[in-house]
This record gives sequence, structure tokens and C-alpha cells, in this order.
Amino acid sequence: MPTPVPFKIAVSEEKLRILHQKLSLTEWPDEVPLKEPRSRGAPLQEVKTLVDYWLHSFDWRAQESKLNQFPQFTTDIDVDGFGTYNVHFIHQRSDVPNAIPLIFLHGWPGSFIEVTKILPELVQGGQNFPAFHVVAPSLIDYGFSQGNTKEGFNLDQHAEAYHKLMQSLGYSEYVAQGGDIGNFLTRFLALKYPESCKAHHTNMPTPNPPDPSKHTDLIAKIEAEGGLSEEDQYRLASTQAHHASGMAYAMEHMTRPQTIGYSLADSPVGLLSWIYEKLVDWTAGYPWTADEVLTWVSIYRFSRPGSAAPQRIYYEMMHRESMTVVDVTAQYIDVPLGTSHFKKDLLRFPTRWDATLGPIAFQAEHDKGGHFAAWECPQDLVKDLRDMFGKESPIHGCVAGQSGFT
Amino acid sequence: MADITPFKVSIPQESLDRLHQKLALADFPDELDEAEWDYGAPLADIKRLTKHWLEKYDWRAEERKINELPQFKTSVTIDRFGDLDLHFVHQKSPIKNAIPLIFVHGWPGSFLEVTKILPLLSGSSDGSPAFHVIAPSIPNFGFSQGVKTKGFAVPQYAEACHKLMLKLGYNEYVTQGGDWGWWITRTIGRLYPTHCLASHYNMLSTVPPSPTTNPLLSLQHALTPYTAAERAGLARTAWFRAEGQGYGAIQNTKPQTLGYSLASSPVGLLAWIYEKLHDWTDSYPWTDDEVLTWVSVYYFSTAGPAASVRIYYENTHDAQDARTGLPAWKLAQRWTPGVKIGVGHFPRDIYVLPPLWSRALGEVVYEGRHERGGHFAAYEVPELIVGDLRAMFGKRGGAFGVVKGKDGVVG
Repeated sequence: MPTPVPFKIAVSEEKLRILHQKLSLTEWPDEVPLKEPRSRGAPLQEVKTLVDYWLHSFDWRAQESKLNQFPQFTTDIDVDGFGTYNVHFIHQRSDVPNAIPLIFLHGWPGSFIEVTKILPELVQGGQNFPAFHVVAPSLIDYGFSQGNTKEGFNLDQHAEAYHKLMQSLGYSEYVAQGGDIGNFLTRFLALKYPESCKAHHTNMPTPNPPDPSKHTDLIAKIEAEGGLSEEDQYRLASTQAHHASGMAYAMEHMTRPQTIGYSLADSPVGLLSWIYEKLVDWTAGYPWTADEVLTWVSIYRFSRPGSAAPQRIYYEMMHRESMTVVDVTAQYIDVPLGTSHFKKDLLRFPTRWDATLGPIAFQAEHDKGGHFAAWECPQDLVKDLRDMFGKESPIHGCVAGQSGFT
Repeated sequence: MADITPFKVSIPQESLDRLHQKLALADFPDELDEAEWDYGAPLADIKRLTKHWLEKYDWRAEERKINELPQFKTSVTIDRFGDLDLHFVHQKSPIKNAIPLIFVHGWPGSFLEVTKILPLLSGSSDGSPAFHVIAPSIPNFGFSQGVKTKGFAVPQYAEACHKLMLKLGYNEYVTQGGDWGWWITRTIGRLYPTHCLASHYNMLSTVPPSPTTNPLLSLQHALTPYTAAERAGLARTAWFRAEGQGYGAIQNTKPQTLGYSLASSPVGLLAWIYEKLHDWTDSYPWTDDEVLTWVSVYYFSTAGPAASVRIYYENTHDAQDARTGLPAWKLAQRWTPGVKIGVGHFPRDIYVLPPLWSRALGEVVYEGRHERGGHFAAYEVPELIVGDLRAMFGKRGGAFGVVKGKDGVVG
């Protein structure tokens, strides 16, 4: 197995220079004044303020330095039928030798950066709560991993790559955590590699409604408890609202990922608005600073695979032959599952439906937070993971020899 | 009519210079191996078009060609919105009693779509009718003013077109349109049935006849098997709905977000439009110059390219009509009394629905079932659109003489 090569992000001066030139040439659309300024997309004044800051105040080198404080590596991973991919990842081992190996899987428009608030806490512990060895890759086609240019590279292939990444680091058994695309990836890992992926946690569980032909007990239980609660109805209504007005980005990604890629590659303000709209819409009043927004966007701007690549996984997910991704990931997978529900996530379902996904080892509902749980509510997510794998938990010690405790 | 002023397109040099600056800095993504058109516009095409735009494309030459069209500007007043400056082509036929026809474009088209049919509609030969042709830039497009107030939806676009015709002295007129032109001309017919007396459509977003509103047609539909051409059309429509509507979803819901890249990235705008010029046509052999001229009309538009997608959002969120409780787009799919209808069915359009469904729209007096052509029919197959209009309005046509005293025929 090849040894991982230490890596530091080092964006060229040339790229920074071109970016500045482009920002200074920005041409602005106007805007229809609205009572709900976000209803048609990212508001003009906010985007103008961000571009102005980007041009005059944002210090990429300082942010790059901060990111480079985390131990990063690249390594080559073979994916059957597709070739070799150079995968970038953070890998931080705990001082606790028996810490639980955990792979953190991001989504769109996130990145490996999303692990950076929870990582310092997760590697702590060993006495009263478990410690983790943390691995957080840039997904292939994202961040500083290599991109893929072969058709058909689906979640199956992504899962294979990240499973093999863990294996290559000596983690024959591990647990997985993810939201957004990361949610679907944890499900594929559990499905394909149950002998290795011993437990998985998602902060955006996506069950289908209970099926009367399969889930009679669960349906009876829900009925006995008074049916869907008001909170459940609210969850479903907000999921529907997201489908009605917030899903178009995904429809474009799923059908014409290359076409939108030209705008995202060529236009810093286009990329900024495409991402920023979601950073605000998908969070529950998180006080994004300009530095945070622009760092998140810069990872896309300066990404190794370029700006058409991140959309491709959506295309592949939608065009998957045989079973749809939704049905694959909504089936019962017999690997212990933890779910954390945050108040303003985009896909929200009655929490009692989680039982259709697998054996529920942990469940938490939070009256705060949104889609980017690890970024918005790091303390809560850390606590959830500590509880899920704690000494009292039914799955304590699920990873052989790596209980998380000294 | 002092306030109808001749107009010539004249883009400031500063805009051209800025465009060139941006093209010179163009950043490109990579592409999947053997992607062709499956994932969107191919990289080689976008690179080639960008290079041509930067190095060889001569906007001033194209501008001169555009300015051979007789163009004007005037102001109309839209209820609740105020005065609106409209740009339009107005070609008066030498035949005095020519039929006044307004040609209404859509997205990503423009008034330029009328260019090829103009010479064929102006004169009357072998007894076929002549037309006075009016082709506006619809508000928010081309060289017409933009509207920055919310609620300016399809009924307002219809009002703008109607009031333009009245202002030009055409109290009674006929219409031709596809894409948004279909929705707008359907609404003109619904709102102004004593003025808009006949309409020809080349894209129809029809629905199956409803048993409650159209029982006989619905029964006929149930009993008649689809022809091979109809099955192919339904398959084409299904393809468009499954694979081709990402652009529409964004424009319907988050046009402001999309607007930043359309306004600031010529390459982004090019790719966004070019994909449709390919996907929606019947293998039309676009030249690079044609593509770039179509895109330039958006890039240099008076209201800016982001304004052009507002119609999608407004239409989706349109207020309901007070009487029926239905939004304008639903009403456009229902029977409009008093308007004689002609339909051109083109096999490579994006909605290619069984001709029988169109009979629920109103009194269909002409039906052209064509074997070639796509979404931009007047541009791709001008002779077929002209053929439809001549047949529909000619001496033996179902809409002959529909405009009193203006049958378009000499003698």
C-alpha cells in the first residue's frame, strides 16, 4: 500500500491574481425589490458586500494557513473499473490509541473544512467519553482530491474509494458520519462493507414513508401513538417547500452539470452566489462571517478538479441504472445507525421513520441548527457522537479493539 | 405619433472593451471523457466559441446587419406599472391592406427570430397574403426597457404587445409566437378577443382534453391510437421534462442567484444559451457568428441578461385571475373564444404533443404537421412558418379576411 504523502494547500499567486482581476470586472444585475429578499435568490446587497470584501479585505493566505494547521495527506486509491484516484484528506489520530476510527464525509456545497470545528473535540477523550481517530477526505471531484472524468462514477464508486482509504490507513473496521451527499455515502458504506463499517451516523436521515407491506409494526406503533405529530407535519411541509422552491440547483446538477460548470468556473461572483444562497437558506440563522463564506467558496474556486466536477455526482445519482439512490439508501441496512435531527435541515422526515433504515442505536432531535450541523452546532454533534459510542451505548465497542476508551 | 422614434442598435465601445477583457480572462472547467452533449454544452464548443468571440467575431458588422431591419422605439403605459419603453421591428408591407401581425419571441430568442420570415411575409405573390410585421423585444429582453417591479407577469407582457399594436394604429391584428411567445399570444387572445382575431403558434404547452370541459374531444382522444409521429413527440416531450428543465427550475425559483453569473460571465451566459440552441433545434447548423449574435443580444441587452429570466419566476408565482381563481398559464391552456387558431407542429420542439390536444385551445382553423424543424421554427424553417401563415390567412384559409379590410391580398 502506498504511504500517504503529507499535503499542504498552496494556491498559486497567478490564480489569486486572476481572481482579483475578475472580481474587479464584476458586472451586476439589478434586483426586484421584495418583502422577502431571499425568495428569488441571494440578495444583491449581500453579494455586493461579499465581493467588495473579497476584493479588498479577504486574506486567502491567512485562511490557507489556518487550514494547513490540520494534518493533511494525499494517497492513491484504486477504484474497480475506473482507475486510480489521488485522494486528499485530513487524518488526525487521537492520543488515545484505542480511539474509534471515524470517517467524516462532506457534501455540497461543503468540503473537508466542515470537520475542522468538531475534530479537535473528537480526538479528545478516552476517560468519560470516547475518542476518535478522524479521517476527513475531500470527496473525489471536490476540494483537493483528484477529479474523475469517466462516466458512471456513482455513489458505489465513491463509497469504494473511501472504504479503501480507511483500509489503506490501517483501519480495517471504522465508523462513518455524514450529511448531504455524505448521508448517502454513509448508507452506501454500510450497505457495501458491513464487515468494516461497523456503525454509521447521519445528520440528514432520508427514510421513505413506512411501507404498509413491510413496516406493519412500525405503522401500528405510530398510529397507537396518535399518528404523525404536529412537529412531523411541520417537517414534511418544510421538506415539500424545499422541493418546490429550493431544489432547482440539484435539478440543474442532475441534468446539465457541465453547462452550469462554465458559469461556476468562469465567474467568481456566479460561484459565490450559487453557494452563498444555500449557506444562508439551509442554516438556522447561523452568523456567517464574510471570511467563512469566502473560505468555503474559495475551496471551490481553487479546487483541484475544477468547477464542473462537483455537480457530476448528482448526474450519476439521478441516472443510476437498476435501483435509484433514494431506494438504495432508504432500505433497511442491518448496520447500527445513529441519527441527529437538526431543526432547519432541508430534508426532514418524522423521526419515527428512521426505524425503517436500520437498527437505531442512537437518535437525537435538536431544536436548532440546519444542514451543516458540524459547522453550525459542533458541540451538539460531538455530544451526539460521544453518546452514540459511549460506555452506556448498546454499540459500545462495535469496532474490535477500538472502543474509544483507555 | 411623434413619440415613435426610429432606432438603431449602437453598443458603446466601452461595453465591447469590457467584454473582451472578460473573454481574455476566461476560465474553463474540464469535461468527462466522451461526454458529447450528455452533460451539457461540450467543452470544445465553448472554448472554440469563446476564442472566436474574443479574436474574430465582429460585433460591429453584426450590428450593421441588425440595423438593416426597420427598428423603432415607443412608450406604452401598462396598468399599475407605468410607462414602458419598447423596442420593435416594424416592417410595413407595400400592400396597403396587408394583415397586421405581431411576432412574439421567447427565451433564449429575440426579435432577431423574425429576420428570415420578414422578406417572405412582406409581399404578396401568386395570391398569397401579405403582412405588416411587428416584432418587439418583449419587456426585459433585447433593447426594450426592463421592469424592476414584482408582479410583471405574462398578462402584462400581453398588455405591452397589445398596446403597441394599438399605438401603431392596428386596432385589429393577428399574432405568431412560440416559447414565451406562445404563452403571451394565448393571453393576448384571452384578454383582447375583439382585437386579436387570429393566432398561429409553433410551440404549444397543451394538456390532454379534459372530460369535464371537453367531453367529445376527450372521448376522441381516448379512442384514437397515437400515430408513430405522435408517440415520437410524446417521447421527445418526456425527454425534455426529465432531462432538459434544470434551466427552467432555476429560472422559476431562484432567478436572482442565476442572474449574477449571467450578468458577469459572458462564457457562462454563452454556455447557458448555447446548450438550448443545440438541444431544442432540429440539427440546425448554427454558425459561430449566429450563436454569438444571439448571445450578444442578451449580453448587451438594455435590461441586462439577468432581467430576461424574471418572466419565469413571475409566471410560476402569478396571481390568480379574480374570476376563475386560475393563474394566467393555466388559462392559456384553456379555450379562448373569438380567436381563430393555426398550429404548426414541429417534431424537434420541446413540447411535441398530439395535435388533437390543440383543439381544446379554441377554433383551430389550420394545422401544419411538419416533418422538420424545432423550437425556433421561424429561424430554422422559415419557409414552413411562412407556408403555415399563407395557408391559414390565404384565400382558402380558415382565417382569410379575419381582419376587416385587411386580407393582405392584392385586387
